[in-house]
Amino acid sequence: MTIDLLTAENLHGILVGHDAQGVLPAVDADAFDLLLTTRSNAPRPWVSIKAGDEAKLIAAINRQPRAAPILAQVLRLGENLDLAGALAVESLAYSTLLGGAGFKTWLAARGELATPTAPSPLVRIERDDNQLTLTLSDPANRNAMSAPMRDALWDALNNVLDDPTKPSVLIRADGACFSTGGALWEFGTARDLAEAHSIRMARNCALLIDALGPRCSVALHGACIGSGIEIPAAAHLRVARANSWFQLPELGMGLIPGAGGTVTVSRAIGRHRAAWMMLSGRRISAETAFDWGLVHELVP
Amino acid sequence: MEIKPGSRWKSAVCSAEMVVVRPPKGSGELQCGGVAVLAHGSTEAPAGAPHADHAGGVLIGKRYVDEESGIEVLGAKAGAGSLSYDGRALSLKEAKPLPASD
Repeated sequence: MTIDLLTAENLHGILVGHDAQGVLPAVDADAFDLLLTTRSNAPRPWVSIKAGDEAKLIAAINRQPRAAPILAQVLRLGENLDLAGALAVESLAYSTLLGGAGFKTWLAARGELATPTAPSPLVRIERDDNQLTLTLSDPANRNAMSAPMRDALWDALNNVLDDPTKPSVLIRADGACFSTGGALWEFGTARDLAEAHSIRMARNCALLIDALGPRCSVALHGACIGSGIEIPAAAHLRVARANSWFQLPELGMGLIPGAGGTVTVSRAIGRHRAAWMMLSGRRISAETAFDWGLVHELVP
Repeated sequence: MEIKPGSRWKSAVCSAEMVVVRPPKGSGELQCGGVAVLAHGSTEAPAGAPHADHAGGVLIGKRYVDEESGIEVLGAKAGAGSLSYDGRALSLKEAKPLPASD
C-alpha cells in the first residue's frame, strides 16, 4: 500500500523518494537518500517541496554525476562512525573530488581571482572572567574561511580547549554575515591533495568545537554558507538572528562540504534533510533552520 | 611561587592577567613587565610600569611558552607588559600557518 504512493527514482545510485500526493506514506527511510513530499511542514526525515523543486534537484544531481553519489555515500558512511572517523571519510572524499572533472570545470568558469588583503587579527579574542568571545573579524571579505582565518580560529579554539580553567566560548562574527565559507580565491591552490587531506584533519575546527561540548555556543546572522554553517553546526548551542540563512553550495562546484558539514549538519538535521541541502544547494531560511534543528534558538 | 596548572595570576605592573596551562619544571618566578606576577586573588593593585625590556604586551587567548622550563601560559586579560620566567622572555606560540586545503 505504501510504495505506490511514493515514486522512487534512482539517480546515479542516489535513491530519491517523492510523495507527490502529500500523504506521507510509511517508508523505510534507511533505504532512501532523500524523501520529498508536497505536504507542507512535514516531519523529519521528509523535506517539504513546492512544484518544480524536484525537477531542479534532479537537474542539480545530473550536472554532478560523480560528486552527487559520493556525497550520498559519505552521508551514509558517516552515520555509523564516530565524529573523527566521519570527518576523515568526508575529507578523503573531498580530496578525491578536488581531482575530479566537475571541480576543474567550475574552476575554469571562476577564472583567476586576486587574494584580497586581510585585517589583523582575523579572529578577535575577548574574555570576561570565564567567558571567551571569538569574533570573526574580516567583514570586508564576508568573514571568508580562508586558510589564515581557519588557522586563527583553530588556534583560538585549541587554546580554549587546553585552558584548565575551562572557560565557555561564544563564536560570533562582525559585519553583515557570519561567514560566506571557503575563500573563493583559494580554491584550486591545493596541488598536493594528500597533503590537503592532512591539513583538513590537522586544522579541523568542527572537531575542537565538538570537544568543547556544552562550553561552546555560536551566534549566527546573515549569510552562513558552506563552512560558515558546517563549523558552527558542531556547536552545542546554536542561536541565529532572524535574518540568517544557510546554504551548502559545494555540489555545484563539483565538490561536497569539506569543513565537517556532512557530519555536523547531518547530525543536526538528519541525513535526508542534509542531503537535500547538499544536493539541491538551496538556501534554508532561519525559520526552516529552527524547525529542522540546525539552530536551537531564533533571536530578532 | 607555586605555579600549578589552572592557577591564575595578574601582572604587578599592568592590566595583564594569565592562566597557567602547563607548569614549569622545578621552581622559578613567573614575571610580567619584568616583575614577579601576583596571585589573581591578591588585593594588591598593579602599580608602576613594565620595564622597557619587558613591554611587548600580553594578548587575550594567546599562548606564551618558555621552552627551557616548559611553562605555558594563556593570556586572560591584555596588558602592556610581556611575560618572562626567571628573566627569560616567554615566546608567543601560535599554530603554524598551513596552506589552503582546497
